[in-house]
Amino acid sequence: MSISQYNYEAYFLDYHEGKLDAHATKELMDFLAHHPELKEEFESYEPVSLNDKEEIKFEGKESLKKSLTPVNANNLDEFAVQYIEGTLNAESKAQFLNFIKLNPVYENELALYQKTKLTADNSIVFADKELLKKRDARRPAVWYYWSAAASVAIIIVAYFMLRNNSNNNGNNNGVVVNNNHVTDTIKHAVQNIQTVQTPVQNNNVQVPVTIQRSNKQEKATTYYVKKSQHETPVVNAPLHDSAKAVVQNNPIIQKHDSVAVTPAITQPTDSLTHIAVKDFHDSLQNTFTANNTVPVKKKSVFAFVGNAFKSIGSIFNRPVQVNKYYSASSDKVIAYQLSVGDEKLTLRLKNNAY
Amino acid sequence: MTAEEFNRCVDLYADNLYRFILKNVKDTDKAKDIVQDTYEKLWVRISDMESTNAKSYMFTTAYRTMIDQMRRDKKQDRLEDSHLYSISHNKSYSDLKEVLNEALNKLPEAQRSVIMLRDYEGYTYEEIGGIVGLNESQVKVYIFRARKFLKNYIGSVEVVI
Repeated sequence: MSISQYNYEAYFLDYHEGKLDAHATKELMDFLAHHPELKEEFESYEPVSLNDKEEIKFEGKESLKKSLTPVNANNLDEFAVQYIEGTLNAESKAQFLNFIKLNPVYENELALYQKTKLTADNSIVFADKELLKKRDARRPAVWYYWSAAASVAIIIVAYFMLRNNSNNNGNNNGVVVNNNHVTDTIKHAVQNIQTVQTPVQNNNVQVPVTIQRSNKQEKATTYYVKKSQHETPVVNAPLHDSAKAVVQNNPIIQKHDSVAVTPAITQPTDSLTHIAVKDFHDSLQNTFTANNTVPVKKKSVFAFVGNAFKSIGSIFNRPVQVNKYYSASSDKVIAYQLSVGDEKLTLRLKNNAY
Repeated sequence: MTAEEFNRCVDLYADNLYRFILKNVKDTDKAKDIVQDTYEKLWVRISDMESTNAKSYMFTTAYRTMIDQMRRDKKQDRLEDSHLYSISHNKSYSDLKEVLNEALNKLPEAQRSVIMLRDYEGYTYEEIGGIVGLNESQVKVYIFRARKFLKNYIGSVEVVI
């Protein structure tokens, strides 16, 4: 390859680095003789060397080196701490102890490190441990708090339910029923009884039976139950004392029905008294009023509990009802029944039988 | 975890927990409150807590509660930048325990906690990291620094039994 204006730089560089042979050198000199304008550039290719490499030094070279002996004065602290911590393997541990043995000047260092091991001060104790302990082993705390909150909610709802019932009862005449189940019962009971529009006719008494559903938005329905003056109403079920009082003090029943309040059962009847008594037994939320004159026990504990369950049922949109059953021979309660929809849970009291 | 196991945790760990917290907050009432709070939190979670994890859970909870309280009280000394983190003492000590206690108090909170968890409770580096929220390497570094500081402190004390 001959020298030209396109490759002369490579020849210049090789010449200065001593890589050109005699023939190439003669050729390069001839080229420069013919091109004197390149002579200055040729001379500028003087070899350049960096001569300051000896001036800049890394001072920490020794610290980077790995010692042929694992333990030395530079890493003594690390070995000592690992020795105290118990994290040295057997080989390193032996090397470390051997180093200390060969260099007794470091024995004190090791002794000081050994003193840094803390020991618990057993005189410091938590004196009130018994206060921390829990007695109820079965009930998780979360459930306990939720139960407490639910109980409070039930009490509040039941209170307002009772208060509303009390207000409603004061404005109604006749039999007020707050239970859908009883509603059906009464409907069935009166379906064969002639319904009239006029409250009072000759020889007849029409007693309004008002059915008020628990859903207050539903309009109350009033049934007029006709009773013949000659018909002898009877009670076909044992009467609770309160029921007796209701019936006996009911001026409508007494005045027009000639009610014979007696446990003796002669024949089944759909008399108004029967409806009233059955209603009283079936639903503890029933309240009998007649012309606002009949005293009724409105806020018994059982009624309170019943309302609470009904409130729960209304929250979950399911009919919940609590009933109690009486002995056939006395006024004693023999069983309680909780109904949730079609499911019933009966609790029979001891020492009682149907 | 059952209530019986919970009560056993009280017997086993209440003292340890109280000691650990007291050494940090240096206030018996606050230490008791933190211990009680920790056990209440454990009780709330008793249904989903295994008894084997209870100790770590309590130390973790107590440590975090303690840190929160220290921050609230603005009493957490930034000892790393403080003059306390220097070996300076001008009194004599009667025994090594007193010296160590003094030195321990001069440690930054993180170093003090990790070395106490290590020596008092025998936790591994990984477990300590889980409790105080550090990785294992950081725990090792803190323990190394703490021991070196304690060693130097002890060595500089004039009277050491």
